[in-house]
Amino acid sequence: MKSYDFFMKADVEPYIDEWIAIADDKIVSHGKNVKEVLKDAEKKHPGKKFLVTRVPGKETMIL
Amino acid sequence: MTLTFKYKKIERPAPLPPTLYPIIPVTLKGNKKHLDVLALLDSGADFTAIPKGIAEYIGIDLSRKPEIIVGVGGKIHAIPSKVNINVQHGHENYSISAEVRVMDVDDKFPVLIGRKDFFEKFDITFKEKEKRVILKKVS
Repeated sequence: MKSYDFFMKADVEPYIDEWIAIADDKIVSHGKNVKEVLKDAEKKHPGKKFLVTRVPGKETMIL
Repeated sequence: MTLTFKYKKIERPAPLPPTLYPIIPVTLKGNKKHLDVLALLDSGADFTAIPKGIAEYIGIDLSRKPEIIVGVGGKIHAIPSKVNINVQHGHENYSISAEVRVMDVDDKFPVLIGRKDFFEKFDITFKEKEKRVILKKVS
């Protein structure tokens, strides 16, 4: 999966505590609200498949 | 019969050290759409948990009465539902129907893959020193 390979190598520090949508080898949308991120990604790249995740970071997670 | 995923290293602003996460790619399938997500494997979670925004996007049933779930951060409301989780790596491809809890907490948590249903289908080994996680399908 191209988007997964991209994520594993990418420096995602600029997107800490945000949701990101990846298409192929670039981050096409990001933000705090996942639905808005998906809407924005679909608007920019209609019909494209996205890989979505929240970038953890500033706060240590103990769930 | 096995799927191996590397941990993802996330750099953090100084002075915070980088952190490593056992994140795996899965596809969540609802009644309307499916969505590829990177989900955190969470052996401490009783159920898989997804943010409400994603649940609404893929179209899963949100008609059931919310219940209170408890974590170290406190109590939140979550709606019980079902979702189909597809996990694929190389030539291996598995589909799991899983109970989920839909969290309505401003999208502050990632998708969490919990024990119910998913961990019952795989023997999961966290190789902390090797920074990878291995999923072996239970036959």
